[in-house]
Amino acid sequence: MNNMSSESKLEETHLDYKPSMTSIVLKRMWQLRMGVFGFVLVLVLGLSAIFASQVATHDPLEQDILARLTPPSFLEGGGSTYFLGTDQLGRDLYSRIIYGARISLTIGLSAVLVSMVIGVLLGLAAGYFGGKIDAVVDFLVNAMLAFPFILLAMTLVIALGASMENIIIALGLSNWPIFARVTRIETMKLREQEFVLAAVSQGLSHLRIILKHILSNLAAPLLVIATVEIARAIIRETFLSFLGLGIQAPTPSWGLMLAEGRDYMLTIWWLSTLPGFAIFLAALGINLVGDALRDLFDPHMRKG
Amino acid sequence: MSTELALEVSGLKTHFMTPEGRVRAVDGVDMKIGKGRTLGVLGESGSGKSVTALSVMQLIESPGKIVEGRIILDGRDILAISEEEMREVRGKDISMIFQEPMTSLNPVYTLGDQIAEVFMVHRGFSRAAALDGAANMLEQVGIPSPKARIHEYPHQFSGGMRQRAMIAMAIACEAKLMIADEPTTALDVTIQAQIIDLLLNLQDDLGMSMMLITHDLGVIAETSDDVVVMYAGQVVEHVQINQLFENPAHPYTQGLLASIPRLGAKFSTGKQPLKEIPGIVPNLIRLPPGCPFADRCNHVMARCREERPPLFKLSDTHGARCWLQESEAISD
Amino acid sequence: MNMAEVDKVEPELEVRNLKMHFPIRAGLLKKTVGHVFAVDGVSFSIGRGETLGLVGESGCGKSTIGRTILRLYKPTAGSIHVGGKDITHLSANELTSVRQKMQMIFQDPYGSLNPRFRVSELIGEAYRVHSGDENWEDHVANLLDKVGLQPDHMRRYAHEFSGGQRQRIGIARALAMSPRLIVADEPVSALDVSIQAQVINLLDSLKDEFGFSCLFIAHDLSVVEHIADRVAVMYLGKMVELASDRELYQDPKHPYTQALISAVPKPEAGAKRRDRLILRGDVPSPINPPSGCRFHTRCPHVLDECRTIEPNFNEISPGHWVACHLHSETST
Repeated sequence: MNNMSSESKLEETHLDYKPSMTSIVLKRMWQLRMGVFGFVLVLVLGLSAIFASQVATHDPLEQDILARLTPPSFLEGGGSTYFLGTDQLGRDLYSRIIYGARISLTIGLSAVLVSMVIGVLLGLAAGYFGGKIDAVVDFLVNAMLAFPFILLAMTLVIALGASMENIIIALGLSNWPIFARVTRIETMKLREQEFVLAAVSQGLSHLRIILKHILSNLAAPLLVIATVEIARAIIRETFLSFLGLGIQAPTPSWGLMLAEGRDYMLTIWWLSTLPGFAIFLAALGINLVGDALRDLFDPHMRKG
Repeated sequence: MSTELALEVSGLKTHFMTPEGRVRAVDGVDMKIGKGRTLGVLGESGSGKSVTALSVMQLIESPGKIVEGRIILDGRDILAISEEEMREVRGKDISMIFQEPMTSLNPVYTLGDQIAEVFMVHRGFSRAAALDGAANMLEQVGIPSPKARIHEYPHQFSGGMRQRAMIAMAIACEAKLMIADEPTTALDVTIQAQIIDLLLNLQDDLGMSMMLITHDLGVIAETSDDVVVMYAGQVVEHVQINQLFENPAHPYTQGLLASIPRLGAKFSTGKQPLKEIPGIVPNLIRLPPGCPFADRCNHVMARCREERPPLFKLSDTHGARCWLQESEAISD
Repeated sequence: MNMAEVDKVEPELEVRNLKMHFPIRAGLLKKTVGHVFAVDGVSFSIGRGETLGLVGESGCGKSTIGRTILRLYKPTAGSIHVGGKDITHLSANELTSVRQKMQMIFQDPYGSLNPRFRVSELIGEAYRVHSGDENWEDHVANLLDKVGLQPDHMRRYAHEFSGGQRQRIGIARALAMSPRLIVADEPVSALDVSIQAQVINLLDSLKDEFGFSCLFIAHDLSVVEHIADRVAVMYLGKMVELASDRELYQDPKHPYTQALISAVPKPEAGAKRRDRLILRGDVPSPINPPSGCRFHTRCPHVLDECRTIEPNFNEISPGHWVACHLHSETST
């Protein structure tokens, strides 16, 4: 039977001629060097957060009143015991920043997770079924977007109390619309694709189509948005802490440290500046990774 | 036989430097278009036919680059001129029409404005005169009520009308050479017949030469005087139109002719499976040494896989790039 | 299969007076401002193991018919019977079992395969879900072999394959649940010419092997005529002619069919400047179809009654149906 396709034979031959995987990967990494840099930053912060107890030099809560307000070791007056100096209660700034990474990254990731779950579910329903469901979700999205974030988060925190869990909920609840919007648009586009029509024609259930066929194609755009939103969540936690509605003392959150150091800005500048710099590095790293992911996925999707 | 040439392409090579490697999209192509004649360029995807046209118009963008060759238009090598001079050439000396009229026409300008622009830029007409000229053009391409329609936008036209409008834009400057890249592929067959008719009539009226690029053997038959068959970036056969069907020399050409379903064939010879060409078009980044068609050829010999055949001359108007033709070849 | 045999056995598919109108909504409140009369009263049947070709140009409704038959849309009016069962008004749940017996092959080899799925999933998902067969991968391997691919291609993703190979995957998917009816919607239109023959031959041999009925939709009359037993011609939502492949080609009755056949470019010597029936004007919009006979605005033989009275779709000789006043029983 002449069904044997010599196409498949040919394909094998041509695979021999492909340039090596390593050289393609290296070329890609150079093109996305900003993203690689960002990834390194994020990796350093992430590892610090996970291995905080090994990386930190002191207990972040331990106070050494006699050594309060010591400058960082690279400035005049600084010693070798406290690498980045101490705060107003004599706590090691470096260790607090390291443990702060853990807090900030946990909050950032968790808040985005909450937003994503809510937003993606609503967006899928709206995009796939359209009609009344879409109208309802659309209304909810617009209503939420009209609310200033701060007001919303403040209200939630005041109502629920300022624990880490509640902050995550507050941040998560106030930010789901962006995920809902993106999911809805992408779902609507995907729903028109012929492979979805093919799935319908094969008698597959809506649930299966949504969860397997559509969701699997949402991973790329969602990942890009999620990275950016993690950075934003971290910064929003900073706002909350500044307002006294974020993480409460003595837990070392970067936002809280920024707020606490406010009074000393002109003289003992390092109390706010160094945590602030940590926030900057985290946000920068995450954003660069997000950008690179977007570039990575776009040409790939064009090629396919 | 000395015929004047509207265009002569010699040894054209256009390569694309991609991260995966160098794509040899056009790899040593020669073409001649006689004055007032139509050269059909026959090829499938990956053949390099569109890249050749874009190279002639010098519309190749990075990572693509014309690395070698000469393109002689009316006696001068347009690859050697400046970009400014080339801009003069585009539209005035060579015009081009594309497959998708919707994407070639600007949706926010009226048709009249777009055609008038050509008159104003290349012929220095005033706006009023240019709009008159635009209406004239629409009439020449058979669009009814042209004076009214110049004020309409592309989306208000049907597919066939848009293609006519694009042709109108292309002939506005009475360029002596028109390049038509798959001009009827996106059109319904009855509209395609109208457009082919239009192009042939315009050619007669304006004394225009044409390069018509297509994958459709029927369209080639109905429009071309001479044909060039392209495969994997090379010209594998060049021949006069009747000889293409009566005496094709290259196995690829023969294979194409044997594989297309023809209306009515079933009833004279009984239904037979179509004679397929096995395999797929090769990867243009790493072409195997030797003839690019070797893997799919029914008459392949050992030599074909090792050495790339040159273009053998079979007659003044017929050449084929195939080792099988070596014994038939006549010397220059 | 001759006509007498077809009549005795119950048809695999029977469509009666099928209509599919799509509302056009505009404005803030999404009011219905008009309808696209995509399919407007079409009746035909397909016998067991028979292939009916469906041709027509843009806006004729052929693709819509294909999708409506598979209940991808809910018909506006009329009825659809598959294997004797009326499926016109079945709910989504009730359709689940019916759907396994009627499958579709899509036009776009890129959009019709989920890029995130492996080939095994693409082909076997529905089979696995509906049959609960633990050895579903063996079934997939068998199907891959039938369509001319290697069983170990199961592990790969769609983007690793060429257009022709993807269509083979799509065909394997359509066969997975052993359907009795396959709707092939332009299955080769997006493929290169040299690959089309491979896929056409594959479909032919699979039809012989599996014995399914087929509605083969295409705009290319040559392809349709080659593969089909009978051919139907559509124009603006109406079926204008239906006959055996031979009769349609040798004795087309409807002026549109005649024009269509004449417009197909002939890939043979001497085709340039041949005499042709060139239709004037464009295909009208299916939103606002002409009154009476839809074709009257372009018909070279238009009569007075054509402008106001719609012709019936009549069987003017055994197996040959036409909707045209020139051929109705009442005309002189």
